[in-house]
Amino acid sequence: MSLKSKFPIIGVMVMAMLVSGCNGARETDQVAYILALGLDKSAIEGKVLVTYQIAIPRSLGEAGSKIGEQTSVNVSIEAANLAEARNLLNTRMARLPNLSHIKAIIIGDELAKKGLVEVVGPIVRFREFRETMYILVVKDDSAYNLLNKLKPRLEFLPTRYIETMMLTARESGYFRPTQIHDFYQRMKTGCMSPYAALVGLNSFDRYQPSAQKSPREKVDEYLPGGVPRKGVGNPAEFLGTAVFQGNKLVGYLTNEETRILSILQGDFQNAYLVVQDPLKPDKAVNLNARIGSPPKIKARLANGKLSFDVSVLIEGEVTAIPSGINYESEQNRKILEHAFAQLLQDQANSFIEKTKTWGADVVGFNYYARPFFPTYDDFMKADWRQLYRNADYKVNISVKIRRTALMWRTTPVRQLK
Amino acid sequence: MSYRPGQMGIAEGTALAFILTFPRVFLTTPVSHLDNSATLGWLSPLLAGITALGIFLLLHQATSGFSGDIINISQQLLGKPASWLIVFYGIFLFMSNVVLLLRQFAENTLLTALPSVEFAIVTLLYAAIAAISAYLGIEVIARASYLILPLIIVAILLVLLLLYPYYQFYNLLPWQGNGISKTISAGFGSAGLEFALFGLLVLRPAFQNNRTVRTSAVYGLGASTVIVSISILVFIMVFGVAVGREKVLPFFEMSRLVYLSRYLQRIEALFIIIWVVAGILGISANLYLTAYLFSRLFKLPSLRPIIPLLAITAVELAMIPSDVASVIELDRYMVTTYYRWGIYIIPAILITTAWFKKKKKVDACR
Amino acid sequence: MISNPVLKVLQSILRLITYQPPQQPEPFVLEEEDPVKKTKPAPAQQELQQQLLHTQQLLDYARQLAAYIEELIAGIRRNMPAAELSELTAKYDCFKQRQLELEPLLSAYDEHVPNPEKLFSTSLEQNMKIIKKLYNIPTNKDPVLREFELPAEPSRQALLVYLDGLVDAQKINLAVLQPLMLLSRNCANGNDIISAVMSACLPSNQVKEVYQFNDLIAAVAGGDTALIVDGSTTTLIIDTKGFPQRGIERPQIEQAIRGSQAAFSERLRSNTAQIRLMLPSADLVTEIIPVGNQVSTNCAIMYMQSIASPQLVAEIKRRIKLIDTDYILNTSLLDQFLEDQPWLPVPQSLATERPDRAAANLMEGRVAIMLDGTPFVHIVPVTLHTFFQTVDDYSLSVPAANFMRFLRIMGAILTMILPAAYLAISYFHQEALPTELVLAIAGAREKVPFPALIEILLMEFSFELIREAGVRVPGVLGSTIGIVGAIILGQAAVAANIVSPIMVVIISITGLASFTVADYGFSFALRLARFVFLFLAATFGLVGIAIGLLIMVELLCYMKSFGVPFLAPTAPKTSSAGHALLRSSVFAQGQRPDELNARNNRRQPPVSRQWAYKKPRKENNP
Repeated sequence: MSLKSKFPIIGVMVMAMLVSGCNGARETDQVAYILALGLDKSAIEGKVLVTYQIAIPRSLGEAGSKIGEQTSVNVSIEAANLAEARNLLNTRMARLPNLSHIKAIIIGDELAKKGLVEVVGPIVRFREFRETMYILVVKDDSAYNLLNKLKPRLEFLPTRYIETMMLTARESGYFRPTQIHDFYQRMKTGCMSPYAALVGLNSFDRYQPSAQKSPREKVDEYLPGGVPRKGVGNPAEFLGTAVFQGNKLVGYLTNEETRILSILQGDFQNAYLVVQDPLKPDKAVNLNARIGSPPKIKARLANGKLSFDVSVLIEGEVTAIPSGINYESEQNRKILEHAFAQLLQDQANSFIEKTKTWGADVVGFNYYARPFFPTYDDFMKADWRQLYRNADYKVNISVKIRRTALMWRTTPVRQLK
Repeated sequence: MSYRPGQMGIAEGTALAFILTFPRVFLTTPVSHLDNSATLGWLSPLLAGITALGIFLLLHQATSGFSGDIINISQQLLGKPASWLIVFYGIFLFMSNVVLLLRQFAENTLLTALPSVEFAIVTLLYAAIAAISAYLGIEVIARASYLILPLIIVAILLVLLLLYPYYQFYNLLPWQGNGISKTISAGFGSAGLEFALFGLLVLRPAFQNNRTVRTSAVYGLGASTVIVSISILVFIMVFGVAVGREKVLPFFEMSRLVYLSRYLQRIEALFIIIWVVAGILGISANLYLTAYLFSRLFKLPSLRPIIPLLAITAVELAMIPSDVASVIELDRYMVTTYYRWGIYIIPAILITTAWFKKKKKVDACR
Repeated sequence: MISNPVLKVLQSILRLITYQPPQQPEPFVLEEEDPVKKTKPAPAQQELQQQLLHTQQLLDYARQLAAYIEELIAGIRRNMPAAELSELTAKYDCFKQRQLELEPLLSAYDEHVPNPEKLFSTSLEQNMKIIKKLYNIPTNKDPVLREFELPAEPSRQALLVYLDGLVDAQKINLAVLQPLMLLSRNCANGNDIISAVMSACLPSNQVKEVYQFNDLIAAVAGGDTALIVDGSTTTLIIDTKGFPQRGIERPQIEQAIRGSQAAFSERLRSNTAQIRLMLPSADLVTEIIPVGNQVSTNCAIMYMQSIASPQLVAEIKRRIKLIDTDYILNTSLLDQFLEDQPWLPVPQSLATERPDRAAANLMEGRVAIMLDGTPFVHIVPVTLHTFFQTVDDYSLSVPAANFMRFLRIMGAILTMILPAAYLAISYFHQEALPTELVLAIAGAREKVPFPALIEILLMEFSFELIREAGVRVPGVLGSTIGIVGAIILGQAAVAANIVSPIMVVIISITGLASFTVADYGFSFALRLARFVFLFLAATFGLVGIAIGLLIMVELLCYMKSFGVPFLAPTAPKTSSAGHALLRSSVFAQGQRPDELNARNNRRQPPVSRQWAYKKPRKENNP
């Protein structure tokens, strides 16, 4: 090939280089990376308050970025929908917003109660949104407030904080990591209720346990914002679950109910359970528990009525026996195991009762009933809310104490007379 | 004849059969399986594949006594005018496949990788690359496919594996889907999807021997069918039928969903490479087959000069439909009508005539 | 001129104020030769016919003379009667007559034969004239014409021709001049002085006879000496080679830690000898084909007769013989004349400076091509895998060797793709990176005033500059410049906010990776491909990279090196025999590469470690 015949090729290359801007190439300094999206009901009728949390890359790029330096800014816009909000965002920010790095969608209480159908639809459709974003509901407050007040101390980025929180949720089971994928799927099938992690702002002066303690319980149940805390700092609190019916928020699950949800869904990795000492009621016993085998849920259909048998094995390691009773012994261990099992069983039953009143299948019992329907159409025709309410549930949680930590024999503290 | 390709072995044949039947998994086709058979959607590609393979093997067996490609065979069996008709039909099928794939892969690119690029540029680019590939010859296409084949398979299986946290086996229930009979009829009905497999028979002289063609069809179509089926299975498990039916690009959605930890996520961009390569190879193989049939029909001494013409025609045709939805509809329509006839009726005619001829021969011998 | 003072003054004033061109020599301009002069006027038709007539006359005469001589010889053999003899004598006179007549024709014909193609004449003077003309003596100072007297009976004038500097003076003095001047008296009697001298007076190891000036020039150019004796049309070529020659040195480019430490040098013969030393077998064939029309150089091809495919050898010979050019400088140029796809930057032969590597390749059925004057031997045909192999691979254990191979493959891929991938992702697919990384990249680029593409090109360009400078600067300084350039430039560029630190990291990794590529030509191909990928990525992002990869793979599938598919044994799939991209154990490599279609494909039985299957015999058993 002569050099002359190569000129067209070189020409095309140079042209390709010049037109690269037209193909949508964006320099990193033309783009604003949005980290979180807050959605609230607006005071103006028919509008939503959209809060964007935008990263400041400058503060992250340099080697010696200081602690306490601001890494993100929040921009709030009231608009009819997400698309308009994005347009309006462009009018006040020079850079093009890039939504593909959004980690979490935070939804205010009021908007959640009003319904999310207009919000979640575009999120699943538009390519920059990912279905792996986490969805959170702010209890009794707005996403705007949460995003503005969220000031994590350890992480540079607030969203890194949220993401890490979600990835470590299994450590307590007090809240569930909920991604848009799961939320949307539950919303679309209609037979299970979507749920989202619940977050709240603590005002540092409240003590507000959310429910009466049952006799075996030794610790309080909370909803976000009600945990007694001292001092100043990050007011955010991840606790409990927001339960939706269809696309509307119908109620909250407390931290303990959420833990039952984790157990019933088989996603309970590690948490401390506290129970009243069965032999010395003024003391408590602690158990570091995790799920022993995934829950076995058996469904039966008789006369158009469903019944579910749930059996779960929890195994654990005793971590504290303040009463000094030798629960390591065969006999005492049985008593203790029974106490724990009873505690969880009670909690599970009350959890199911609570969801029954909403008609919300949070756990996903629905899955286990699917084999009773021959075809997909039959399955879609069934009235799930009614079926869920009318079904019988038999929860059988057994607890097995596998280890007793570093001690194998407890002796009481000697009281010299 | 300068368009007589060289000698291809089982490796090349398998890759060719795979790349001719596989690229649609990156398009909306899995969703139409879901539409037809709901939770049993994974079965219908299996059925379609088995049917297509059965017909292919029957036709191959029936015509194995004849020499030459499908044009020579149909000439010997049905005479010249009928064989012309068949070749015309073949040109129509392969060309329409080129057009449909071109359009849909270009649309995909806009949807996923390059949202603000000009549509015409992507279409032209793909057509140009496909034309270059076809120009380099079927051997090159087959060998390149063979090299890229393991990458495609490993990448797809990797995505499917990495999705394991999202697996919900109960999404596959109720197991009858839309009803077994419906599923079976849908499965046989969508056998038209695999018509491009008959490209191997068109190119039969290019292979080492008849057994090579048979073996590569079995391996190539087998692998492609099984992988399509597995990916539909995972798709149902992960998204469920209700949500899955809404999607345009199941594979892209699946690769987007991978989220194992803070670091192992956002891998879909890497799969752009896989599906672009697979798509273009598929388009170019179809383009080559069209050009081959053309040159055979008009007894051209070489097929290379008509490749650019065909590519430009394909671009023009691909730009006719005004929106994606109508392209997807058209694709479905083509599969259930012309492609279906192509895979059932023409082989049936050929098989019966071949059988009669053979019988006659045997009778004559007596 | 009127010389009056007023006029003189006026003139001098005039001279002062008017411009006078300075006295300077005409600048030298290389002028084109007059094309009209160059083309010879076409001889007229009539003149041509005249020439044809003359030539025919000469031919007739020559034929008759030949017939007469044959007749004469036959007559003498059978002792012919006197009558016949007289008849023949008469005929002889007749011939003599005719010769006198034809003399002017003959000399005219002689004029037309170009000098180099002429045969030696019996007259030493005539020969000397032609030689002087051929060598442009006295303008040309290299050729030495040494005249002396052969003390034979009768004594004869003789002439030695050689090129100064190419010959060993000692040899000429002691082995040529001395015996000829002193000893030939005894031996060189009789008519056939040449054969007498050759057999008795020349204690030189190689002497041969030539009859044409062409051969004399070729031999003298190679350092030999020509001996022309008055009255003889035969010239003797005596081996007196003594030109300066590089010894066998260590390999410069392909260094091996455990391999042999010898490298090829410039002289063809020493190179063939080195290979022959590696493969001491009669099976090894060296064929020599001169290439180049105006100045011809010796090209040698070597192969194992019982292994290499005869078709391959024939094709290589055919291609070399059908090269029509004036002069070929070195093997790389020769290679460009021979390649199947000269428009692709991928090397299609393996240039090696290691005799052991050449020998290993010959044993697999390949062919070595070498040219006088080049210290590299080119091995053909090759496949892509060849360029990932080094000699050390085979001295290391299998896992270690494969690890190195893997590193090299990764290096090649990184060299091509890394900058393009960075560009594609940062331009088009920002969602593909972890958020923190994207923000780190974006943060680092905040203060950089260039688009990322320009930034990358800038860095690439400086890197290539450093590399080129390192090659051009002599010896030890080269590496210093590399280090200084890389470290200081990188640091300063980052400090000056011209490039972002991430870019420096990427370009450095790319640069390092490109140094892992084993073959020089191949690494060039990869570097070129890198720029293509860069442009594709800048226009179409990862789609562009995918397209680039596809086209690259297809071109590689399309390529052939001397008829062997470039990606064999992968595509087309053949049995890899354990030496494709990764290597298997030596004892498991039972076959030669399948794609070479060697005559004898099996190199060892499936069980080559026979001892492992035999019982050790106990010595000293009582």
